[in-house]
Amino acid sequence: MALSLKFGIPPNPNLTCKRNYRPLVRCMAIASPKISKLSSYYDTLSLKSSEKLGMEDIKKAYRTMALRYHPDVCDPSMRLECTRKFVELNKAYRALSDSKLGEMYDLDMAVMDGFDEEENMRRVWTAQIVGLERRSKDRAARRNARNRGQGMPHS
Amino acid sequence: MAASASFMATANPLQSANPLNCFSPLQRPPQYRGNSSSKRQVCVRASGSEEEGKVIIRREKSGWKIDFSKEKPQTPLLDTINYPNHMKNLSAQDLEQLAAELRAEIVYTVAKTGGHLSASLGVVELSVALHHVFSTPDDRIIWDVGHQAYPHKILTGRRSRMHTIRQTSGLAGFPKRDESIHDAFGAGHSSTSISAGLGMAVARDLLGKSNHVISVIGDGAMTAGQAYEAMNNSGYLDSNLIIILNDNKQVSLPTATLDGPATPVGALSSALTRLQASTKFRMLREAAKSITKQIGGQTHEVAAKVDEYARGMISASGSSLFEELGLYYIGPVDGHNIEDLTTIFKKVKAMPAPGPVLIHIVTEKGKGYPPAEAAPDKMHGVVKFEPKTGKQFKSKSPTLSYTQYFAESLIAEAERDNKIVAIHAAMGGGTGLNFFQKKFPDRCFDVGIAEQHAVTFAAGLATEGLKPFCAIYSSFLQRGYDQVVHDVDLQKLPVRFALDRAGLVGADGPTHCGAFDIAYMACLPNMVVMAPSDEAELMNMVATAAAIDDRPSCFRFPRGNGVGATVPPNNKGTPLAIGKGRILMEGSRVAILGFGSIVQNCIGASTLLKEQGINVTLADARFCKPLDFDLIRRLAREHEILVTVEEGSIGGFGSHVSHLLSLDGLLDGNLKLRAMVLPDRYIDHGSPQDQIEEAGLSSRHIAATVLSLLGMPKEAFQFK
Repeated sequence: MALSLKFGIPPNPNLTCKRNYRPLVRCMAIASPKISKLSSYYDTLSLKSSEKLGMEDIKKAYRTMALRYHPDVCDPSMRLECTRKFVELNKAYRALSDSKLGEMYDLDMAVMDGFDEEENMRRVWTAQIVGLERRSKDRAARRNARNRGQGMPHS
Repeated sequence: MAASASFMATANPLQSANPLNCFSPLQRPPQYRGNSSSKRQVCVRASGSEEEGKVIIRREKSGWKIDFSKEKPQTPLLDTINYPNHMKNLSAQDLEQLAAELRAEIVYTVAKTGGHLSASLGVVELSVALHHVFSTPDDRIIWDVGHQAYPHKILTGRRSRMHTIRQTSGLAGFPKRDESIHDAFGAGHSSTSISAGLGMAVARDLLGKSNHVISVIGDGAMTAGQAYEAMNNSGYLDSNLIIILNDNKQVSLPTATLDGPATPVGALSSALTRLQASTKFRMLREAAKSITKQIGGQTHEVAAKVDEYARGMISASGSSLFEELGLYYIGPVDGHNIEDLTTIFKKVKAMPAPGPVLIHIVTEKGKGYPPAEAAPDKMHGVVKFEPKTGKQFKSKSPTLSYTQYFAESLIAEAERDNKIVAIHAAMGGGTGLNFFQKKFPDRCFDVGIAEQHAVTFAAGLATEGLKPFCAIYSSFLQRGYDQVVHDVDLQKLPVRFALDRAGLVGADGPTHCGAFDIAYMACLPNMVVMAPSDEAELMNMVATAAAIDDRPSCFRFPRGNGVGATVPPNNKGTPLAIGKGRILMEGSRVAILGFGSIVQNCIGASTLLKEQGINVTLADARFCKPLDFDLIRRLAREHEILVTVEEGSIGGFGSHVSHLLSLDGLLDGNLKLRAMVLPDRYIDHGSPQDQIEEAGLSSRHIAATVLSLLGMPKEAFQFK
């Protein structure tokens, strides 16, 4: 699965900012097809999956195939088959480009972390503990404030 | 024996240049392998003057290696631990070694006594980490179900008595408050730990104390509703509570069908699997959170929004479930890494107000003992076995267990009637329905540890015309009792209940004892209550229950093997006439009326009495509801003495018989009526023979009762 997360800073009159960012948090999940399907998509685009393929290779292959199989271009007698093949081509191209995107994302993540499953797990719960410590401090502060019976300035 | 234990002091990374060579004078020093401090070999040797080559536990690159092929290894570090206090000053290295020694101790102990093996092995590191960081008895550790508490018992001063575990007058197989102050709550049935822990936490807050409360619950126990009820309430009450979810993917017991490991039941398991698998997503979520921190204080609202989305959408949905309930989720954590565990526990312990926290640890059931890791049922519950191979010494019996006879006869019924379906609550092996499932995979339902749901689910099946057989242990059905009353009996739905483990159950003790089912089933207006006296009767009763299609019915049978009665051909029973008992022996003056497998003890008693020249009439009631009025009236009119016998509590069969007799006016004459029931107290765990003796229901006791009623009390002492 590939994910993207975008967010921005809300407009704040106190900040001397030339541009006003609108708060935007968007999360997309793109489902990527399974491995066996992927290999057939490679076949559809007449690509060898064993080669190291980048986005450019896939785009080029798609364009060549599309020029051949576009319903307007192909032989009128074979229009039905052409259309079907073209639809398949589209599907294959979309899926592969998405999976490429996904791979690149994976690579980014890996490069980011020096991908080690165990270390990753450790990082995850370490971060969670930091969050919990923050929460605990906040709650303890609130509790003390309540007990002392005076308001605390918002942090 | 001169034991010189030399072991590595705290591993100081600055000292990597000069490793401590430790070796016994009787052996050559080991070759030093590896050149980095992480691969340093740590070994503890005890030099003995008699024999060379004492088995030791050594650390290798891949982990600690325990040699199970010889005798029990030396456990020098474990020998120094008598109470959890002694663990406070151990280093990380020492703790790992302690865990390895603890593993060896458990394997060799359970090999001699039998008991629950692999669950304990899976939580060795957890137990060590918990006792190192927290201090029982002030801190409370509650083990759900409790069969995994063997390491806990060893570390809390009961190591010397571990060889008596599950035996008469020995240690209990589950935590027991009477046994030790370190056992915070008694367990045996599952999914109670969070509820109990929350109660202790709230009480602590009300009393102004500051100890910690830790509940350890497994992923199987999480499938029960009570766990959610507890988590929901703890989220609401927001009291400081640590819940440790021990996830080993073993939701059902024993953890295998006949063909291999049981696939985890229910949607929760897949949610937990997704949780464990999706570290990448969790990374993104945590990264998003850290980025928001860097942006600055003004973005507090956005950060909170991101956090909410991150937790809800990006992270795997499993953790959201716990977080929606109000628990702070931490994990997944490697449950076999003591360093990680102690780090997390220390951090959480240091926080003043974390609220309810759920720490999700991943363990492997049976870890560290290869035969258990390889076995399909992970050697969950074992009898005595050989440590080297894991092969169990199962005694050969001429007869099968009642459970197997039940399964066989249910299969025979289902072959002829395709409306018969079977339901159990995560006990495929214990109820024998694994065999049924193999034959009829579409007609067998494992609902997880959810007896309440199982009963109402069966009721739903019955409304559509199917014939559901609910196979639930007598003591576990207690949990679904309201469903039996309200959903099944009140609506008169033909659900058949097969109550296994009725009566005393031996080593498992009072938590699993099925003493109450006669009382709680026979008081229901529409229920037919039967009990077989032997395996042939059991098969006939399965057929009878299959034939009863207009009302609910149940039959109870004990733990143990059959007596050798001739079973019907092809295991197909014949339906009995409902409400009709049978006379086994004709006599005079004295009548003994038994209900259930205790009739075998009545037969033994009548043999003893015959030696004294007393011929008793022996009857098998077969039905507690509806009672065989004619038989009972006949026995009351034609005899001076009537003794009813059952392996159940007061308020059961004997109570119904006496009620009938009193209403009929038969108690207004010369009849001497006595009801022999289980005593009004809980019988401790032990061997079945010891328990029956303790309960006073052996053949000897029955014969003695008759003799006292006959005015011959002295003769009663002649029975051995």
